Amino acid sequence: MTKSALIMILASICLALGSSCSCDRDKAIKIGFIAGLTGKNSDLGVAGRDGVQLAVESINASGGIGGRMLSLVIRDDGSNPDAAALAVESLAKERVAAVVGPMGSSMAKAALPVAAKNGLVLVSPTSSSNELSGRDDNFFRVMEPNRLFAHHLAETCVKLKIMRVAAIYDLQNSTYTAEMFADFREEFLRRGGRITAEVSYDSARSPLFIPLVKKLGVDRADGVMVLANSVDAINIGQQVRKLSPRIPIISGACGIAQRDLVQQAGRSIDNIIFTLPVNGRSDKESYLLFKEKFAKRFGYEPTFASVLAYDAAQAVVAALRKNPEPSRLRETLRGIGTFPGLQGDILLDSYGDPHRKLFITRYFRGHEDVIE
Amino acid sequence: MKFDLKRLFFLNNLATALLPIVGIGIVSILVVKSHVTADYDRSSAILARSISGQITTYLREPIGTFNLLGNHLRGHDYSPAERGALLNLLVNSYEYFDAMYLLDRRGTVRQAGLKKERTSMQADILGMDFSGVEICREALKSGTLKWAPSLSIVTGEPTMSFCASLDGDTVLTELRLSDLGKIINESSSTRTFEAFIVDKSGRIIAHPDQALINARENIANLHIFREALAGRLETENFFLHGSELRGTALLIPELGWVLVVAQDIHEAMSPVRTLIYILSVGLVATILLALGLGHIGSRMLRRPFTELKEVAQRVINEDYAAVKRVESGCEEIRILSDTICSMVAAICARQDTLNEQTEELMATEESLRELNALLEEKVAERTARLEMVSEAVSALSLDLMQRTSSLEEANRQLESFAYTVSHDLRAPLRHAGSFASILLEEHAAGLGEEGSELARRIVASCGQMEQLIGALLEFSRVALRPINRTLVHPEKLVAEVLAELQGDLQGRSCEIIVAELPDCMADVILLRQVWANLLGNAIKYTRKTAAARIEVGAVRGGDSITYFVKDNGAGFDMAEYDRLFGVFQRLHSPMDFTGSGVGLAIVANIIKRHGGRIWALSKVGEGAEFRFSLPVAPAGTPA
Repeated sequence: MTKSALIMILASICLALGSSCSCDRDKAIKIGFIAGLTGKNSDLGVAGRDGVQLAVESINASGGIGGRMLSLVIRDDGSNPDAAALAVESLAKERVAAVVGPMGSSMAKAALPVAAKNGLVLVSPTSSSNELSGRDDNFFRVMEPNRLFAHHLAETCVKLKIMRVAAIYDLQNSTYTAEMFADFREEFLRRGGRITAEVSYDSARSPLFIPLVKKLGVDRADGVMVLANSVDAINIGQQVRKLSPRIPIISGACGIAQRDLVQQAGRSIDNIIFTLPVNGRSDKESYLLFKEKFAKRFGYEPTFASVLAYDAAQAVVAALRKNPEPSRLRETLRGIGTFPGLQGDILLDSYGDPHRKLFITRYFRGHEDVIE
Repeated sequence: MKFDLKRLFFLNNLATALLPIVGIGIVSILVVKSHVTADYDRSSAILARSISGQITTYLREPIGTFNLLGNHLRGHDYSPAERGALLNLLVNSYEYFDAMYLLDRRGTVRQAGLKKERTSMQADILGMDFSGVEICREALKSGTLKWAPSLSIVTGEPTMSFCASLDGDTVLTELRLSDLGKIINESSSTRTFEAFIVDKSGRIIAHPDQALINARENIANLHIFREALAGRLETENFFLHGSELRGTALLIPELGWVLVVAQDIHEAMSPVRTLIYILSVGLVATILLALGLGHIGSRMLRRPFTELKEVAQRVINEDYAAVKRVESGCEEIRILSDTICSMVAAICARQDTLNEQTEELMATEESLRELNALLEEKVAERTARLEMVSEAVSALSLDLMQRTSSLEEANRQLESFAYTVSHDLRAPLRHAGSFASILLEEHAAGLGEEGSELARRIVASCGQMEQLIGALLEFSRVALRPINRTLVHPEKLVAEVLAELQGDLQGRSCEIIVAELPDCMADVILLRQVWANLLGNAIKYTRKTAAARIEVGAVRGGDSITYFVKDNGAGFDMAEYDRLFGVFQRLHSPMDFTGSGVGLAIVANIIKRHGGRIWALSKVGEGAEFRFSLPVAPAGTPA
């Protein structure tokens, strides 16, 4: 058998096998996404997913990164920390370049060790736990830590002369809720406020809300603080309104409702106050364009989670544009400084924490107002 | 590029095996792919219509029940507690209802029907404000049934809400979307299709996988969805959840939803893949078979060729005795082998002949070699002799040249001497003559008769002597004069000479005929002297001829021109020809014809110095003819 014959045989076999198997080598850059897409906190995750989806579609429409398209690999953590860790493990196997998410602080905390083990970078749109800030790790985010929000809320309450606050919070995702409340209480008390009641519950046990709300003693308070997932927040809001039609409801960012739930919140949503890192009334051109595209693409108005998720995806894209090597992404992100956000440039410090302005948002008589 | 037989045979086998199977395979794949796609599209469209029908049918029941409830409540004046009980009864009687709420005009929940496991939530639900729910406002406004996908306030999961107006109040029902998923699942499970329902905003509201519904996937960006929403049945490939699918999208007009029936493209095209697999296996098997057969065939084909090669090698080595016939089943090989054997036989026969001829040639060559040696010996001998002769000739020639040179020198010295002597002798001779004349004229009386006679003889001898010396001087002058060649016109010279001699013709009858005389290259003065002497002689020697006739002419021939002067005068005896051109040689008596005897010597000298030749023919009493030739253009003369 001559050498040429061997070459011919090998070439023919390769041709035959090549034609029989699908050679769909995916040259796209994979970006992972983790959020609670199901369950009571899914509105946050879905809004975030849609924001990232739009970012990826926009990047691809403009030619991708260095000619390579982006591919979004989505995982649902069901707002469960263990599921979030498994989701990161799964994305590492998929060889994603980076992960946008998780959205919840508890999930981010659980996912971080797995990400570090696999050399993956997490860029969370909405995780705000204090614990995750100021650390030299694989975690980056585009939302500021709870402490800042809590202090901002305490300051707002004092400004609005809400000096007596009754608080209710969910023990699920306590990394966010309990921490947020503790920071709020500290600052609020420091500013002369008073906590009239503190009620906690476990959303996993499907509790009845009216007894819990009654425990708050709404009539003795100037405002009710609700730190819960959006479904529960609306439900609690409804119960609060049964007892007091006008009392202000102070919510954490996670409590904000999506359009579907806003409809079902009815008048209870009136006088709900949030502190957000996003200005819902921004007239920034890039934000307005994003709003328009988002509404056209998904059929609803983008929430703050969509904006933050879009920004988180932009941080990853900016870093990959600077250095397309995924293994160097952590260093690239640490040295990126600023990157373009929908409402202006966002500065990331060397610990991967952002510095952006906060906005007080209030729903009042069917309108969403932004109070500085 | 070089191919050996083995490689060519291998390539031939491979090409013969591969080309048909690849060609047929490609055509088959294209045809099957086209058929599979068409079949798949047809099936998915049929399935989509079927599921669409089932969903419409499925929704008719809850809608009917819902309408019935509305009519029932309108027709009966139930208490709030009775209404609540009725709602609870309906929700728990029909699987598809998740919850049912009775809202007052302000949108506040007054009664709620909940599944048994959620009855405890009654307290939370009652009194809730649903005034913001858009379909309730629309239903109240239009008085008709409205529905829209939403999220359940109880579970937070996607649901389908129906709302109908009821005398100012409204009934709001949450329909379980998971049942739609079941319908889809049951309809499509046997066909391995994935079917799902998408609402008009692009959100997936019903899917066999509840997680996808809960995740509220939105496919509004897909072309297939937009086309279906516009009322066009569309079948095409699209990407969803990172997979490529092929599916059909169909609008359900009654609901405004889009039903998508799809299948993973790899699964949908599995028959094509199977065909490609079969083709690939067939291709590999064919290649291996072709290689095996090719190898065997190649060996079979190569053996006789190898033997033929060996035979050819023996022929090259001239080992004709070892050339054997190659046995093969192949007719062509046998013919080739026989041809080689015949060729070898012919070569052997020709070689024998050649050997004989070679021997003969060798013998001939030997003889020739001997002859050649003999010839060479003779040639050498003769050459030696010739060389000797040549040396002798050279020596003679050299001697001759030396003698000639000596003679010429002696001649020149003699001529010079003659001139000098003549010239120097002239003066004393003239003195002698003059003195003798003086004696005669002045001393005749003293001399006496005899003395006078002697004196006269002295005077006469001196006169004759002077004449002779004059002639000698003339001869010497001509001989010493250097030749200056120019183009000469002899006709003109002849005419001038005849004019000068006209006096000698006075009283004579003499016919002079001058023919055409070609021009020549010569010293004009010397040639004039030639013509003067020859014409002078002709006139002189015809003096006694009654009808004198003188002819002058020329004959052109080769590289010279021959001029002649012919007369019919006294002529001369050819026996004395040798003296004719000598100095002071006279063939006639001075009594008959006067002359110095140097005229013809001068002519001969001039002609000779011009490189020409002079000769004469004559008979006594019949005249003479003098001819001289001159070269047309002597070498080194100017034109």
